[in-house]
Amino acid sequence: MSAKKMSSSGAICRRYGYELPDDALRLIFSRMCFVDQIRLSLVCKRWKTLLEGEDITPTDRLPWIMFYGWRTELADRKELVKSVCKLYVPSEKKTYTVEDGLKGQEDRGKFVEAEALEYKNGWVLFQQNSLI
Amino acid sequence: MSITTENNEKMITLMSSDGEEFVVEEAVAAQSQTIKHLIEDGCSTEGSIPLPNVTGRVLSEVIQYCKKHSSSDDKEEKELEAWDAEFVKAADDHVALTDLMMAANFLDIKGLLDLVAQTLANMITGKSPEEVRRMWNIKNDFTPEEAEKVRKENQWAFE
Repeated sequence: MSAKKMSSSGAICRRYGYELPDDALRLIFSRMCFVDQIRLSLVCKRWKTLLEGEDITPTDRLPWIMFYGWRTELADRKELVKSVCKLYVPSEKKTYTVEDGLKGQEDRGKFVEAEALEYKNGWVLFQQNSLI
Repeated sequence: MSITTENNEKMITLMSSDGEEFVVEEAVAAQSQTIKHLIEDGCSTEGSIPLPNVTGRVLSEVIQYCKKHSSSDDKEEKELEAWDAEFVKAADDHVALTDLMMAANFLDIKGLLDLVAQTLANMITGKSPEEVRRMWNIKNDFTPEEAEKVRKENQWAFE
């Protein structure tokens, strides 16, 4: 293929060039908030791998606010305790709900007087100070 | 080929993939780290520098950016920001922006890379995976089971 033919309309980029290199994609991903990063990991396997890379940090600057509570449901005449966690994202002004993150009654005490120490990549580290 | 202008500015010739030649001041061309290294290595003394994966259309846009950014100093930051905003707006759609991103990546022009990356990030923010796939013609290579698993892991983010 001659050089002239290749570039006449930029069509070549449209067909083959869509594979943005990893570095370029990382630059784009690093400019997105955490929720969008999670959502777009469903685009394709390559995106998921890149998005889960340690070098990708979300743009979220304001801390999220976390509410934790419990809901009791009656199923098969048995009482089921379900955890309900609400996450408020200040930059999006939106609340997300994670249900059933913890299982059953025995986990219920785990958050009593627990303190959030650190958060990263969607994980929150809690410490329960039982010495007091 | 090195030509010198009246004000003693060294000129560099760049050749796009479609054979279009662009004569620019060395200071403008050196905004690209790739070209800067080529110049330092003495590759610009004979003939033009070939850029095999940048078309003339994209290269002329890149040069426009480099010219603006080599002639402005820090004092004009506000004006430069406004100019940048107009520049990406003129690129019009994600196809043109993607071409620019590829060129900026190859030519290693940090400012342009950051600018285009931010614009593309804004563009895909809030879009569904399917919409993004359509934008870039990306094949969904997840099996339905795998996709379901990814969705389940972070169910809350997809609602």
